[in-house]
Amino acid sequence: MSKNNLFKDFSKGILIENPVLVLGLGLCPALAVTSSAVNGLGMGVAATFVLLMSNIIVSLIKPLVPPKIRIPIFILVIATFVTIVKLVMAAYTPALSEALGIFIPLIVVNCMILGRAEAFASKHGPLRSTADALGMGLGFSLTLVLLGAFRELIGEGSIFGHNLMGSSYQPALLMILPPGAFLSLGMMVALSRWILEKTTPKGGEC
Amino acid sequence: MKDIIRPGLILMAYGLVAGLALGIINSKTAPIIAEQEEAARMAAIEAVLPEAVVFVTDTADGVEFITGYIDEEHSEIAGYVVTAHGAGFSSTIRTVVGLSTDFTVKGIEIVFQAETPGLGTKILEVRKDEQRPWFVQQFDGREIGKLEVDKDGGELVSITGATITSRAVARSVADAADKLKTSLEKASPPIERLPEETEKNDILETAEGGEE
Repeated sequence: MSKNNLFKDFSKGILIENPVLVLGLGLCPALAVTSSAVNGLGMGVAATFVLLMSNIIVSLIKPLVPPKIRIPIFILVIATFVTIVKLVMAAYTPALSEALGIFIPLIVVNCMILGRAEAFASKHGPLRSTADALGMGLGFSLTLVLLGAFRELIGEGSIFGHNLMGSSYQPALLMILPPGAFLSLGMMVALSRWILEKTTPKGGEC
Repeated sequence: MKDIIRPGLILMAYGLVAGLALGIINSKTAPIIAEQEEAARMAAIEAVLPEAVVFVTDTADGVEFITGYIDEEHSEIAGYVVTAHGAGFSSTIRTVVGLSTDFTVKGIEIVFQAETPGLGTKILEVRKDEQRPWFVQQFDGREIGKLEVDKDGGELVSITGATITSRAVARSVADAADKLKTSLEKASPPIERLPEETEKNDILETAEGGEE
C-alpha cells in the first residue's frame, strides 16, 4: 500500500467526500448543535475521537463478524466507546464534560460513524481505516465549525464568543434557531458543489 | 435454526465483552464522579451564601434546607440554602438558592441543566470580564415576590429563544424559597440559634397556603 493511497483515504473526507456536505451523513448533529462555533468544534472533536476508535476496532474485528449481524455489532462497539468517553470525561475532565454535555450521548446516533464502519472500516485494514476516520472527522469538524461560525455571526454578531459586528448590530435570531440551521446548511452544500464543480475538470470523474 | 442460534450467540459474546468493559470502567469512575458532584454542590452552596462558615442540614415541615451560620458557635444565622427543581425545556434544572434571613435572594447557582445547546444553556453564559452568568446575577438581592421573567410581566430579563428555560429557573427559585418561608414560619417559634431546636420543631404536616 503506497503512501499516496493513505493520503487519498485521509484527504477525501475534507471536501470530495465530505461526510456532511457530500455524503449527507451526520446531518442531525450538524443541524442541531451548530448554534455557535464553539459547539460545532466540541461536537466535531468528540465525534472524531469516537469515529477513530470505532473505525480501528471494526477493522480489527472484521474477520470475527458474521455479515448477518454486523450492524448490531457495529452499533454495540460505537455505543460502548461513547459510554466510555462519557464516563471518563465526567470523572477526569468535569469542565469539558459540562461544556459538551448533550453532544456526547448524541454521537451514538451519528450515522456518520456507523456509515464509515459499514462502508469503509469493515472492508479495509486498520491503517487505512485510521486515515479514513481522521479525514472524515476533520471534514465533519470543519463543516460544523464553519456552520456554527456563520450562524453565530449572523445570529449573534460574534464568532467564538468574540463580538465582531459592533454593538449597533441587530442580531438575526432566526439564524441560531432551527430554521437558520437548514438555511445555512443549504447554502454550504451549494457552495461546496460550486467549488467542486470549479475544481474538477469538465467531464472528469472525481 | 442454525442461522438464528449461531449469530445470536456471537452477538451475545460481543455484548458480554462490551458489558464487562463498561462495568469495569463504571466501577472505577462512579466514585470519582460522585465526589466531583458533591464538591460542585458544596462549592455552589458556599458561593450563594458567602458569609456562612458552618452549614447544617435541617428539615422544617418536610422541606429540606441548609442553615448557614457565620461562625463555629452557631451564634448567628447567615441565611438558608435550598435546592430548587424546575422543569426546563429538555431537563430538570437544579438550582441552589441562597436566602437571607428575611427571605431575599442572596444568590443562585445552577448546578445541573441539560438544555438546548446555544439556547437554553445560555443560563450559564458569562459575559466578558464578569465572574458569574448574567442571567443568574439578576436574582441577587431580589425579594421572592419579584421573581418573574419579563415575558410574565416581571423584571428578570429572559434569554432570547429560551423563555421556557428562563421561566423554569425563575419559577422554581420563587417556589422553593416560598415553600421554605412557609414551612419555617409554620414551625414556630421561628428557627432560633441552635439547630437542635429546629429539629424539635420539625412538624410533618403539609404546608397550607403561601403556594401558587
